[in-house]
Amino acid sequence: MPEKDLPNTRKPRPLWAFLSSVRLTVVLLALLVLLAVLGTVIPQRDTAMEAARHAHTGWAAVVDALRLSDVFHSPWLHALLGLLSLNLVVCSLNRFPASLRAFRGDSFTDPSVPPGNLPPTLSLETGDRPEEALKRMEDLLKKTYRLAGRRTRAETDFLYADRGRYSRFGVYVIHLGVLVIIAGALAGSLFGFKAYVNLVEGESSDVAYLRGGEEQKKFDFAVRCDRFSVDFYESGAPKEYRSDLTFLKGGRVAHHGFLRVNSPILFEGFRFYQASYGIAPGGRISLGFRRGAGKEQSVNIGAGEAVELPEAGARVRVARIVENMMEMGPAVKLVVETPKGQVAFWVFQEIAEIERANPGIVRQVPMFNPGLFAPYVFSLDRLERKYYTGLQVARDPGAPVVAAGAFLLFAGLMAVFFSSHRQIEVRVGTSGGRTQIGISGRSSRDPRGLQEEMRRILGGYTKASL
Amino acid sequence: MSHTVILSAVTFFYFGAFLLYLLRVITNRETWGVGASWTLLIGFAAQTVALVLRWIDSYRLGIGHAPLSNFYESLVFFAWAMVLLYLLTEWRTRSRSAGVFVTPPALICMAYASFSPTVNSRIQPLVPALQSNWLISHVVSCFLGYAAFTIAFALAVMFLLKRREGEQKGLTGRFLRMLPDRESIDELLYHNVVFGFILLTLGIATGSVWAHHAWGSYWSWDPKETWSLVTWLIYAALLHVRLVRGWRGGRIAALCIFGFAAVLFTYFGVNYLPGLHSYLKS
Repeated sequence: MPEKDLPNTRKPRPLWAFLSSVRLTVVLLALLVLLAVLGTVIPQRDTAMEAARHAHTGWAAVVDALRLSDVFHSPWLHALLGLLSLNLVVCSLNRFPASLRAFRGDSFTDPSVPPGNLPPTLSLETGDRPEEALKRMEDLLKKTYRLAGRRTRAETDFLYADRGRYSRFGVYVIHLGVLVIIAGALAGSLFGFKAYVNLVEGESSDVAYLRGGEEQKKFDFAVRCDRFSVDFYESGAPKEYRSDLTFLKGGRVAHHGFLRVNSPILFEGFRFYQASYGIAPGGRISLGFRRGAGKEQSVNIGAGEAVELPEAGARVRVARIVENMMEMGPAVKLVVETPKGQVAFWVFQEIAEIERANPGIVRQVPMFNPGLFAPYVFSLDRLERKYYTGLQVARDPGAPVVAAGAFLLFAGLMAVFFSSHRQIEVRVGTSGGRTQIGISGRSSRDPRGLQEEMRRILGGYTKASL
Repeated sequence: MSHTVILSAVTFFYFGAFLLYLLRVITNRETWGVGASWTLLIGFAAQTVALVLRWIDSYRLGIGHAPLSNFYESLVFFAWAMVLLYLLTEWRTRSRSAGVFVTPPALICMAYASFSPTVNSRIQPLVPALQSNWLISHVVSCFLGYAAFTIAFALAVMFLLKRREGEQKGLTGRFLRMLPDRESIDELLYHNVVFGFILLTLGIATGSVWAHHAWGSYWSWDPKETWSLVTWLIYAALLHVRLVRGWRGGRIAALCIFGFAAVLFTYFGVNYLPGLHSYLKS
């Protein structure tokens, strides 16, 4: 349905014409496409991390200066969305009066507009009296159409009916939806935030860190991770992970809940998401040791803690616990302090396997010798993994607005593509003593469908006569 | 497993259907067309059964989920959606003309899924982010949309070939004469674009709702999200120039091909970029 702009009788307004043109819309859409593509091809600040930002040479500097390393928060995007919004508003204002006229159907039932401006007519000849034919056609139409008017001219009766006239507004509903979505996104970026906080089991926090990690968001409540659990499939992929959270307000428990992926917790307007998890540094270990051929002893100990060896007058301190030391598995750095001085070395959990793979390593690298403090031999029996849970906290007052916009957009699409404004004109007159019924119509879309419908209506008349 | 065997057999049915559609156009005899339609329908029925079996099988393995969760399953569903839309079109328009152009993409998807050594056809358990009721609605609407755009692409190719009808003689000329007239192709192409656009809109919307629940944000400019928006914008531009500026035919067909390239990149290409949708790599 190519719409022709009405002849402009007012003086030319070049800016208005520019802003209301579909050509501008298409150019803006193309530029948005280009910008979005750049945003996925050029490493963005979030994914490229700091590397690209520090490399202020050549391309990187150009990319950074043009704000192309953060396309989706750049002035380019904002300018394009702003222009697109303006274009949508001006376009809609420009075209709305014509749509309103079409909605009212003024020109359709207007006696000053001569009949015959409609596409070809289907007709029928019958022996029924004209008044009767008119009444029956009216009843037939009323089943699916709204009667819009009637008039008589030159001994011919005209009936006007239409349906689906609201579909004329579908396109405005779509565009309103787009504007509402843009407004919601703007509201979200102005008044919303997204922050992260990692909590080890038992820990609590009343702050979360905004993207980049420099700024923090403080809450007037604290969230505590009581427990974190993760289940794995046989393949090793995570099956489910869950944080048991307690929300504390003024030191009192205000809410308790289980947080899973795909089921956030809403607390005081803030949404908490299960974003990630990991193994916290500095859990506890089971440290085994034995003096010469003596009895094997074991002690449960954490990083920074120490155990006394009274026989040697020494003190063993756990300096570091490493989850995966040089790709050789868990290891712990021990510092043995004696009055004569101190000695430091690493104890690997899988020392037997490491020695098998690298014969003689313990002699070549004394730091890796668990028996360096003779006659003691140490072993790392068990590493107690302590998980931390990665929580995301977000508030987005724009989200419901965006949802409403999406709803409008979708409803508008339905109106535009699945309904049409159909107008039907029925003429009843006499010719050669017989009653002539003519039917013609026009449709904002799908003329073939209208043709079929007119045939059906006229067919209904014949069928009822039999 | 039985369903993967059925699905690889379906590939041959689709290949057979393609050959029969081709014979129909070359020999100008509708008998071949009838055979093609039946072959395609049987293949489609078998594929539907295989999808259901796979779904049931996943429950037997204790990791029950709809067969829409990895690359293999998405390829199979993509082909299924294309054939479904094409069969519906054939039934509605009572014309088999597009068959010879529409069957190859479905055939390629099935062949790639079944015979590529890099595509893992095993039923895999769902990672926590995928364990959501939104999975089905999001994936189904996106892939029905992709399927409609693929059919529109096939019709665009058909349109551009048909334009050269006058210049070609012999077998090629006869082949082109058998294709429907340009207006009909253009109209059908437009209907597919509209359908695809509405489903892509729905797919993006359901994806946003899901992301709001799973990732804490309805939109994260993840490459797949961004490229789906790129695709949406291209088809939005197509609809505008057609509805408002009255573009038809060749230029619309060219835009359709352009849009389809974006669809392909949204589906396959973004796997080579880092992002949240990366589970499709397997």
